[in-house]
Amino acid sequence: MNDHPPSAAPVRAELLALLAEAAAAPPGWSGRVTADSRLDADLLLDECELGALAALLHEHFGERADLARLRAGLDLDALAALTVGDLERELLPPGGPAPDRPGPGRPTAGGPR
Amino acid sequence: MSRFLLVVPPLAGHIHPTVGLAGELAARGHQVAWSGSEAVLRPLLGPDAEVLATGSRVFRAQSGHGLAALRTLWEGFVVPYARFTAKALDRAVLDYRPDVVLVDQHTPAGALVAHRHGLHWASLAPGAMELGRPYRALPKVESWMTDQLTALWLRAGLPPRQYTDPRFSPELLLALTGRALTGPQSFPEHFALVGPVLTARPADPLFPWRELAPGRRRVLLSMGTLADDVSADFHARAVRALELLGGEVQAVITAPPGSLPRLPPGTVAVERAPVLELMARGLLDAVVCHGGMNTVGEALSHGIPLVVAPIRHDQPFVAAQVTAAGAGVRVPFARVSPEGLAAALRTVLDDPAYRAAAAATGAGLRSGGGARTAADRLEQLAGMPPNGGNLLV
Repeated sequence: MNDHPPSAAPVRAELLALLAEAAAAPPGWSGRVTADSRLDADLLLDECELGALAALLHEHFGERADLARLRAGLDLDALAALTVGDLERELLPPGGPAPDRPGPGRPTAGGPR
Repeated sequence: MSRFLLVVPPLAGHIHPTVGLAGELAARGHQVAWSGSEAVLRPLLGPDAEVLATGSRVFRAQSGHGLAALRTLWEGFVVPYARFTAKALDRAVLDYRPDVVLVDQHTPAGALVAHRHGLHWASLAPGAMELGRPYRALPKVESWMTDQLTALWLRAGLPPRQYTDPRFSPELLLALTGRALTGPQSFPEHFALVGPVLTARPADPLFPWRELAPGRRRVLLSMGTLADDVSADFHARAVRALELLGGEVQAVITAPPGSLPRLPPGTVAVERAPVLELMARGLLDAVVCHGGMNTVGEALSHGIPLVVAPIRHDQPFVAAQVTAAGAGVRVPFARVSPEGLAAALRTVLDDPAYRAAAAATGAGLRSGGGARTAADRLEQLAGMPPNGGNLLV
């Protein structure tokens, strides 16, 4: 997933908040999160925390923000490379929370769960 | 009388429970031997145990977290260890002529050898790594694991059409856990969830029993035998958390020598602790651990609440089950602050509901029967007719 140039662009505040909530992170943790932060090796989110993040994304951005489906279609290398920027691009609607607005398009992920 | 061969990896957490299993089988008049690394097995089993050595070599240390840890578990240990031990295990089976081979899920070569010789074999699941399928939501990761097992099967020269997942015996799987820690999923009839093996272990004369201060609540901090590489930073935060708790709590910390910062007065730090004895004598009020099945099962079986800081593999799921049972609190290993860890410890120490839930959950685990039920099931398997012909007979 991480085949785009490194980005210093700030991460959307609402996504940072959901990441911090899923990670049960202490104050200040989200200040170190960038679009290039990998969910696995940099943020050290485990499968349970990623499950919590998937539920939060669904709750805040609607059913098209389907992290579980996105990850289910990835192999080990792609999962290891998955970044916060990938989530913004693949899952979040442009501009902010809008559960009834169409998302940015489905990722190529698929497969049974 | 039957003969049982136990195939185990060179990991203390996997070997310890087999000591109790073997003791129960031996008490019933059976013969038991281990096959594996004698350099690791001998100190844990003692001079009288029969060990059929497979040789020893150093395997790549597991990476700390997440998917990197999963990759090094398989590519750095499970697969190369299976290749390394294949021939020696074959010789061990031919020499010992067991009626049943009990195979740890992370030593698949044992299952391949047993299958080749037409022997009964049972799987041993010390944890929930394979049993609980923590990567069930990631089908490409699960198939990556299966592909490696299939390659081992073919490399062993076994017929492709007979492929059987060497982690899961079709006849018997002994899991040292219980439904309280595996979640709501159902298992086939031949999966026996026997709970932890609580057989007393040899006394540890070196443990400083006299340093256990009366009148203080006592916490065991044990982050497992695999996690030394990533536990140093956690230990520093944990020691700060203990300082925040003040003099009312005494900690017993198991960690390698020299790996800990300056400790609060009265702290007992040892490389290994007689955990079961500490628990059985009622000397622990809470346990902080990484969520390894052995420690969690043993603590709950003694009604001791937990603070679980999971590091990798099945540990996050075990931590989630402990939390769901109300028997403990989960904290994020990589991120918990000293203040957060101190608060979690205060919670399980002060709120009697956690101790009550731990006792209730532990009663469920104990009802699995431990080593007795495991031995019953292994005896039943030994008494069954050969699978299409024991080729050793």
